[in-house]
Amino acid sequence: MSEGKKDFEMLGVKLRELKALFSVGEKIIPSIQKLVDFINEMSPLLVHINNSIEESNSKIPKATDHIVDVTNATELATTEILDLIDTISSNTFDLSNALSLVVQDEGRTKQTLTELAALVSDNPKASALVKDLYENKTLAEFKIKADDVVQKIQMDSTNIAIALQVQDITTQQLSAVNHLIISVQKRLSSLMFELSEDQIKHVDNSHTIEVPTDKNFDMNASYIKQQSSQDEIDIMIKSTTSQDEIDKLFG
Amino acid sequence: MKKVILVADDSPTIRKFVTFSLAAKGFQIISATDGMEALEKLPSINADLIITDLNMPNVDGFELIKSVRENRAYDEVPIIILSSLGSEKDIERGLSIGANSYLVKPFDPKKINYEVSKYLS
Repeated sequence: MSEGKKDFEMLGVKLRELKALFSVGEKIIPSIQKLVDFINEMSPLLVHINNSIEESNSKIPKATDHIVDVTNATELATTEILDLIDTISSNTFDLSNALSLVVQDEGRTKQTLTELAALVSDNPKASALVKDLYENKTLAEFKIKADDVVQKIQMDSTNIAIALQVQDITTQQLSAVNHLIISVQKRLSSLMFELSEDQIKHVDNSHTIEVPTDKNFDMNASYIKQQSSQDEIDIMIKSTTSQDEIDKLFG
Repeated sequence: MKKVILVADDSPTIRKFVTFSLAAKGFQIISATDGMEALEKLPSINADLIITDLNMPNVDGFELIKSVRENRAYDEVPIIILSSLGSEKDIERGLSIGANSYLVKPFDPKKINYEVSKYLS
């Protein structure tokens, strides 16, 4: 076959391929058009999403600051309340001691009355008056009642102090929430980076926040005022006591 | 002479409450805000007992207990863990590295007094 004929045949093949390509093109052009239209429609929506993310991202540091402020405020208030409870306990203890002294004084008074009764034993009227005074139990009864009240105050103070431990639990839960918010912000920032490189630069420079390092937390911390969990731990500790320790106890 | 108890906890509320629970019983309470501060204070205070939280910044309770137990000067000092972590895994870990008792928060002052009296009676 001559070179010219081969070239013509090759040209024919290429033209058929080109025709097939145009045919495919004609078929996919509507789809491409639809895709372009879709992107045009989506573009404002993506800008809107981007703006929303940016807005949310800018508010997150304020939210974490608020949580830290709330934590600090409750911590301060709790410490102040505990100080007051401490003072109340101390005052009630002093009151109880003062009452004991009064009762001791009453003991001395009764001793004096006993001596006086001996001196006036020949005077029935005076003896009766001394006896009345001696049998006056008002002060002792008052002391018993006062001790009871003091004990109740101390018990209530202790219960308030126990309840205030909820502040520590709340702090740990808030720290966990803060940690979560910061993680969300980091994710939003990376999402914004994917949407718009310019905007992320703006956001990152102005709203960088760090996880607080002065607070550690237990995400599962809970305020359960039940004895059962401590009892379970005590049982566990007993069961893990080594033979050596048992030998020491009974050795 | 008053027995000295070192309390390591990053929560001021808990430090205060432990002090409230034990100071009235005649113990001297020395506080540390984390494990690192506790380790710094130990050489100068001659602690008779240590009460420690587990979740703390810088040096946590586990590291503190480990360091104390590795030091011959304090390896006999009783250690009570006071933590909101109450899983079997945490308790086993705490006891395996050398803690003597484990109290879970919130705790009762009577319970902490009882545990302390076991070692400092």
